[in-house]
Amino acid sequence: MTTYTLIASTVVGSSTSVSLGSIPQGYDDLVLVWKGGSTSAPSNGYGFKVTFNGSTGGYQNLIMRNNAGVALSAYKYANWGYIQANTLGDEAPYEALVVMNISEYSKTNKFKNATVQFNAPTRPQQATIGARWDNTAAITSIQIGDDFGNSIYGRFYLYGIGN
Amino acid sequence: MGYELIETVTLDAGAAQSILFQNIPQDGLDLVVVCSFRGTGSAVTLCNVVFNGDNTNANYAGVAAIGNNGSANPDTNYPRPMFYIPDTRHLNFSFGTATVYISSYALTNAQKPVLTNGTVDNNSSNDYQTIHGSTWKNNSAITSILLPSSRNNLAQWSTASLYKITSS
Repeated sequence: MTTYTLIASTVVGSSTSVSLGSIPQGYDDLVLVWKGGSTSAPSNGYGFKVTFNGSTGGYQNLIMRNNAGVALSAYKYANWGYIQANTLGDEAPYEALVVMNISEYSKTNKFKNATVQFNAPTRPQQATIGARWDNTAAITSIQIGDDFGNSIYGRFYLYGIGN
Repeated sequence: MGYELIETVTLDAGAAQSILFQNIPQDGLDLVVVCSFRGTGSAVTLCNVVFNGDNTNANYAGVAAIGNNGSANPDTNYPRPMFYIPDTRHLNFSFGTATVYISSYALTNAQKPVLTNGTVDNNSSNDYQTIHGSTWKNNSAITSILLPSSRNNLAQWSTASLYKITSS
């Protein structure tokens, strides 16, 4: 039976970065789920950012989103410093629900892909993000922050999918 | 509710034109196929999913939202479940990711709705992001799933895993 196994969880009140480290390598994929937000009102265009193994380069981002009822739009951030997990809600409490699937995180013969489903209900905005980290290293840690440098808060859960 | 692996196929030995799942057990609620594909061609490559050997487009209905190089467009030209695959123009080690969710696959009195989500990232051009909703207009239970490459072969190390969602 394949199961979702909780690897790590943390509740953060206010911090500029959340790190989930020492990720075991015995699973097939990872799922990172969090509901949280920023402690400050957002400026236009910032939101959650995610990096792997502390690396700040080689991330490719494709985003399709529906923002406040505007027609579906697409964005591309190539050779970025992080996975752009899209913008937070622009009305208090400036929050979002994010589900990130990370495929074959321990394979050393492939770059690493992540698919993000994103919902910022007070903006409102929904988005899907397809991201790739151009690195063959196994993912051993994940960092979550705010690309504008503000503090974030929330509940963060990391699951392993495997037999 | 469980999430049970039925089979994983990895092209360890070399490239192949497709990956096929056969004799799918009928005791699940839904199916999920998770793909990590790369193609051996040098141009745009797709995977158009086939159920029970039925590759007649008229037997499917589908609509897609496709993101490509920073623009998003609806597309009704792909009735079968589909997603893009990286090709030899993309960096080495880059594989595309796709998830195919198939609802009520074992029922014999209902058509089969499918939701597909795929991404091909690149750091220059030729990137694709797809959300595709489709229906196989057939009441038969799904017993096989073919995942073909539309151009040349699937590259070595391409992988597909088939899961079933169970009620316990």
